[in-house]
Amino acid sequence: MSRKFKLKKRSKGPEGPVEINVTPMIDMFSVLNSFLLMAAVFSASGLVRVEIPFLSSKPPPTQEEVDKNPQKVLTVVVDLDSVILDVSQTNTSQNPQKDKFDLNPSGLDKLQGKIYEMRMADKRIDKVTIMTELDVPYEKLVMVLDTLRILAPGRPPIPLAADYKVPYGVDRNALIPKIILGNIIL
Amino acid sequence: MAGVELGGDSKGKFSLNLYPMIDIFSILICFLLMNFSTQGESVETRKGLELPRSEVRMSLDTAASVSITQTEIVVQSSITIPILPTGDVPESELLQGGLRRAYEELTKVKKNNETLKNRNQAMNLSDKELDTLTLEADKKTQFKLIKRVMLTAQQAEFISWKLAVEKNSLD
Repeated sequence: MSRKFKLKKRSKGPEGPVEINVTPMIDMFSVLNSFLLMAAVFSASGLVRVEIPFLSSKPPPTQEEVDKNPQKVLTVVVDLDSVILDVSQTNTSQNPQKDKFDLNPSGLDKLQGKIYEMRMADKRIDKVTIMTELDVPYEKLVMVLDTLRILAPGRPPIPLAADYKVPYGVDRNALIPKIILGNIIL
Repeated sequence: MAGVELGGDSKGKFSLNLYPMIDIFSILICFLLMNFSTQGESVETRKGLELPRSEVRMSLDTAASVSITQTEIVVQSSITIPILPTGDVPESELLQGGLRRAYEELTKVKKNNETLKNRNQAMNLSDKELDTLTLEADKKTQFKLIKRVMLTAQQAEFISWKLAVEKNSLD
C-alpha cells in the first residue's frame, strides 16, 4: 500500500526581482481609513448629574434630633465673577460663615481646598446646594460643578463608609456626591 | 514596484513609490484603531449649540432630552420654543413660570415612563434613569433660561438632571 510521492520540479520563474502586489492592501487601507475617520469620536460628551429640590412627605427632624446630631449645611452662591461659600450649622440660627472666592481657576481651587478640608474633618458633609444668579452663563455654572465634583490632582479621594450609597451616576471619588440646584423652586 | 514605460523616445521607466504612503496609512490606522471608541452616545449637534467643557469622566447615555441653543429650546426633538433676543421666551409660551408646551410634552414623557417603569418592575429590570432628563445647553445660556426649563420639568415631576458637557480629555 505504499505510495510513492514524487516532488514536482519547480518550473523556472521569470527572471528578475520578485515583487509583491500591494494594490489590494492599499485598497483595504483606504476603505478602513475612511471608515475609522468617519466613525472616530473626536469630541466626547459627558454628563454632570445634579438634582433639583422637590417636596417630600417626610416629616422634618425634631429640634431634639437636630440638637443631638448637628450638621454643617453648605451653600454655594454663584455670581457672575465670584463664588460665596456659605457654611451654617443645623442647630444654630447664628449668621452663617461666609467665604468669597473669585470665579476663576485659582479661586475655584481655593474653594475646593476649603470644602475638601471640611469634608475630611466631617465626612457626613455630602451635599451642597448651589444658588445661581439668573445672569450667570451655563459655562460658569459647569466650572463650579466641576470644582465640587472632580478633585484636583494632589488631593486624594475621601474614603467613604462601606455602607454609604453614592447616588446613581456619580463617581465614588467625587468631592461632593449630592449637588442640588437650590433656586429651582415653584 | 512595477514601472510604467514612458512614451516617446525616452527609454526610462516611471515608477510611483507607494511605500511612504503605506507607512503613513499604517500609522494612521494604528492611531485610529487605538483611539476608536464605541462608547458614548453622540449628541446631535444643533446649530447654535456649543457645550461647555468639563473634566467629567462619565459618558453620556440615553434619556429624554431638552436642548437650549442660542435661538430655541427643543424638547425631545419635537417641540421647539423660540428664544427672544432678550434671552427669554415669548410671554405666550409661559405657564406658571414654566414653559407650557414643554410641560405638556414632558408630562407625556413622564406618563410613558410610568408605563415602562411598571413593565420593568414586572420584569425585575432597573429603571433608575427613567426619572432623569438630559440637558444640552449652549455654554453662553443664561441661568434664568435653564431655571425656567428645570422648573417646567419639576412641574412634570422630573427632579434629576444630567447636564451634557464636552469632555476635556478623551477617556
